[in-house]
Amino acid sequence: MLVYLSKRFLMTMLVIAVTSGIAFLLVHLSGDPAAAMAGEGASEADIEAVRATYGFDRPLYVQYLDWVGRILTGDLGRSTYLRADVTDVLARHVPVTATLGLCALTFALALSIPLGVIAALRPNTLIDRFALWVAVAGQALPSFLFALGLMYLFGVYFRLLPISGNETWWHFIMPSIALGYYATPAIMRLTRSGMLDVMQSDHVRTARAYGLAPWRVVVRHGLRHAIIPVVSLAAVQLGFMLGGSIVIETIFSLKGIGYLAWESIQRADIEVIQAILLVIAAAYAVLTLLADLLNAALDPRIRIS
Amino acid sequence: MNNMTTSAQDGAPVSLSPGRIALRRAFRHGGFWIGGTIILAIILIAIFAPLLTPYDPSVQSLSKGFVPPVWAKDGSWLHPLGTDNLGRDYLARLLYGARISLGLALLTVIISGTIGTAMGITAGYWGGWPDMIINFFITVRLTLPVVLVALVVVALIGSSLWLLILVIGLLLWDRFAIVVRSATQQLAQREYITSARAIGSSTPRILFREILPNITGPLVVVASIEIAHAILLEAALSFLGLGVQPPDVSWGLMVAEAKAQLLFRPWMIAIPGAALVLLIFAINLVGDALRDVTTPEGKA
Amino acid sequence: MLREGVKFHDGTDFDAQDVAYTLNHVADPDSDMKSRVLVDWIDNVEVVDSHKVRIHAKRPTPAALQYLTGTSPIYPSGHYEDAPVVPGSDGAERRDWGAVQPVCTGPYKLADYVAGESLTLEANPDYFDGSPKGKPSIGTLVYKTIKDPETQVAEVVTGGVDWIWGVPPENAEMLASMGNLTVVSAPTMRMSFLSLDAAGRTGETPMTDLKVRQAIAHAINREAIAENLVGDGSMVQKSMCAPVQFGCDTDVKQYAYDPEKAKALLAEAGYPDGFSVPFHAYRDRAYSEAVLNDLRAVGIETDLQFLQWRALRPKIVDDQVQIGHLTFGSNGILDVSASTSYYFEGSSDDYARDEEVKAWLEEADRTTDQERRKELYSKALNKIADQAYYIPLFMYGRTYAFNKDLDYPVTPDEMAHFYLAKWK
Repeated sequence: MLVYLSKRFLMTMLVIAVTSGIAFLLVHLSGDPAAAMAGEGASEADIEAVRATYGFDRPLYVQYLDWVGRILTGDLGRSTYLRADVTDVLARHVPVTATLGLCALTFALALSIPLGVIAALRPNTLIDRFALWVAVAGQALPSFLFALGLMYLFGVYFRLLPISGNETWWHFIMPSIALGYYATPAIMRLTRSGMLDVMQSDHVRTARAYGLAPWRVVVRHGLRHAIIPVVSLAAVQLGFMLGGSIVIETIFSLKGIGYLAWESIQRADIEVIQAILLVIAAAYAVLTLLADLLNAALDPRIRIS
Repeated sequence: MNNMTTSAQDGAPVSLSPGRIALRRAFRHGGFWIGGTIILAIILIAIFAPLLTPYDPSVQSLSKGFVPPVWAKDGSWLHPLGTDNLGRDYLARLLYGARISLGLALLTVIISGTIGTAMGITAGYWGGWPDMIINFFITVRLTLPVVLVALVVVALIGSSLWLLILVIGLLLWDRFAIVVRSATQQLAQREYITSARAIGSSTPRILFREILPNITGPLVVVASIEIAHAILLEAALSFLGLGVQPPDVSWGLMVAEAKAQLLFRPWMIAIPGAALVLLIFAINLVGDALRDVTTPEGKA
Repeated sequence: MLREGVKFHDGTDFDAQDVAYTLNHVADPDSDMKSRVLVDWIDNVEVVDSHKVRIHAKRPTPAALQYLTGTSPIYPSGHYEDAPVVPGSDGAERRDWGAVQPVCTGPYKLADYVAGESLTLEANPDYFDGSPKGKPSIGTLVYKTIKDPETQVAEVVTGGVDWIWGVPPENAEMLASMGNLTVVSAPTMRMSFLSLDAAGRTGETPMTDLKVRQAIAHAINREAIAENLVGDGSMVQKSMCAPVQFGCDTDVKQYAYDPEKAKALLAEAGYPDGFSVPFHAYRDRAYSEAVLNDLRAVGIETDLQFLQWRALRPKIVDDQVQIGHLTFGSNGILDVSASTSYYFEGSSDDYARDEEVKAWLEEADRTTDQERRKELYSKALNKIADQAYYIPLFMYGRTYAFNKDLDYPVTPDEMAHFYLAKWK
């Protein structure tokens, strides 16, 4: 177990290290950061001045090592546009996205697990078919269309919910639904197939034979086992949501890291872009690690291997 | 029976003629029919677009901008779906837009499918350190958020159609690699493969004659997922202004351009939006049907 | 001479020391000042008495007053001492001058500022009497950034915000018809034009041929683009400068929309079947598309390269842009030296590289005799038009939508002057 853990940890660190290199290259190899920072209408001299001030005239590998060196001391760099330390900027934006991601995941789980369980308990009935169609149809709707539709309906037409910003919990309702529904089909399917398997297994049959209440069988003996792969998937989906919330955050003007990333790309605020890529990669890596550990904790069979 | 279906996507059906059985099952599957018909219709529309409309989708007429569609007041059959802000016929754009949306998705999947399959087979067949390295690549790829990376590249290098295809193709190979890897792993341990090795069949022969044909099932399923994924990704990039560039037109671009009219001329976003949803819905239906028929016992 | 009795928001008096301090600071090349044209002319600033300064210029600078009254404020002496020290290049340290919260003298003072998100302004009760701006009327203003233009419109329609700008002109009428909003358009100083590679910086291309350049000018229906597409507040741009700028001579050669003539000129130049050319643009794709459509109609096929500014800019510098659809706002400076001189004095943005034009403009920029300046600028602008080096297209408009109960005078300088706003 300890060997497995340390191996996984080393792997995670290595992945993050490689990702940092990719993030750096992506940002530096395309376009001229100095031109972007000097802005439109800047003359050549303006741009040269910016280049020298921020050290863009040095060889790439020197800039990279400089950056990595600073990261290792806990300094993520400085936003040239926002004129603040990236750490502080992220500290303001990460909670927003984290809240959004968790709300979206909660929404997705609350919708998909019951649907999946019901579908599995009544396989090939109308309910099962209906759930499947909902899943297929749901997955076909691009999240930005869904988001715009929600905004039009609940924001403008009925005027029930606030349209943009992240000041109150009300502000999170529409973005969470728009972001979360996309994960529901996958989770629902996995719950359904897991439940189908488990309900046919010996111990569930035994439990039924002993005359335990049906819902107890479903929850205690069925769902508990069927949920294991769902946990992994949920963690991975949460990672995707953190990375994929750009469009949703832009539409609802939610000041999370997706919004920050898109703004920073347009402002060529390169240290922020690099830091966000790195943070998302790290979050994803840690989430998958957590998912594995949770799996191991929930399923004794994995622990042995 | 259960030994070959350990998890959802691994189960390659290995019976005597898997292709034929799958096909026969597919034709009895309702979703396959509905989805297939819709996709076929859209492909035909894309191919025969020039015959279906007299208009060139990129020719503008600035004085005739924002003509409403035929069912609205002031609409006429001259422009059944109206015109956009530059006075271009909306129906023509919709018909021609199918070309780019479909073509882009197909090309990206060819790129990502080739990369992913090659990596998956390598990792699954040889195992050992090639497997470890490829696994590492897959993990690195998964940690990079697709939309964000695509945005950075396209925003900075510029957004030509070919660059877009390349970028999306280079980003979406992970699922191919994962699925092909586990399918190959299972196959590689089968008796007929080990015996083929024993009698000295060449490696390319084993890979192309024995392994590749037997993983087409999961491959096709993943391809359907990734085609839908590519279309959605292009639409999302277009939405942020960095997708397909004019004079080319895609459905994603049409949605993006119409978004300013959401409150004022909602049909402009509803028309390409519905087309997009219909296409992806159909692809998903077919993908689901294929998954059903290639994995036994109706497990999803 | 400085006005007396003006106080900074922190309560200190505004005097000559502050002016000298601020200007000397921003004139320093290390000041991280982004628009160097505004300060590069300053050699040093000397305090004469408590309310009088003398600015020593490096050379005669006729547009100096324009530069001084632009967008760079005066801060109290010692203001920049609070600038944080941050890591610079090569492990060295640098000061982040811009990170200091501004302390100014204006009608509103900064109450709260979250970079990239919002700005809260409060009326300055001690604002000096007799200011040309007048006393502020609204107590507190919150300026929020909402990225998506559709979300902005949705917010202003539902009353979530009271004022937005940059409304798509085609929606102006429908927004106005909703009843709770005032929708107004105003002209701006931002010009939209084509830069053609007359100098042959990208190599021997059709652009070096005067007839081809004139054909392009004749091919584009500028009126239709300005009226039907860019909409209210826009107008055709006649010369390579903003009409409100000093020295902007608009009475230069005009190329009427005439596709037949364009085709004839192309044939004369040896391109009877047209040619194909990369076309670079970075702002407002629909406008670029309209230009492309007109070019295609006369046989010029274009390959649109729509880029972010940061990606286009290096291409311009590296001689790679045959046709660029560019825009320029002159940094709000009401003098031709900010627009025409910017593009035609041999910098990397200059794709004409006409020595004669350059000489005229340089002389005009250094001369204090205003009549002589006008004459020189006019000469330069006429030659630019005759040679069709750059094709001026249209001036941008800007459309504002705000709460009906708000009285907000719209100004033609593309700036938001909130101190003029009042509740009805």
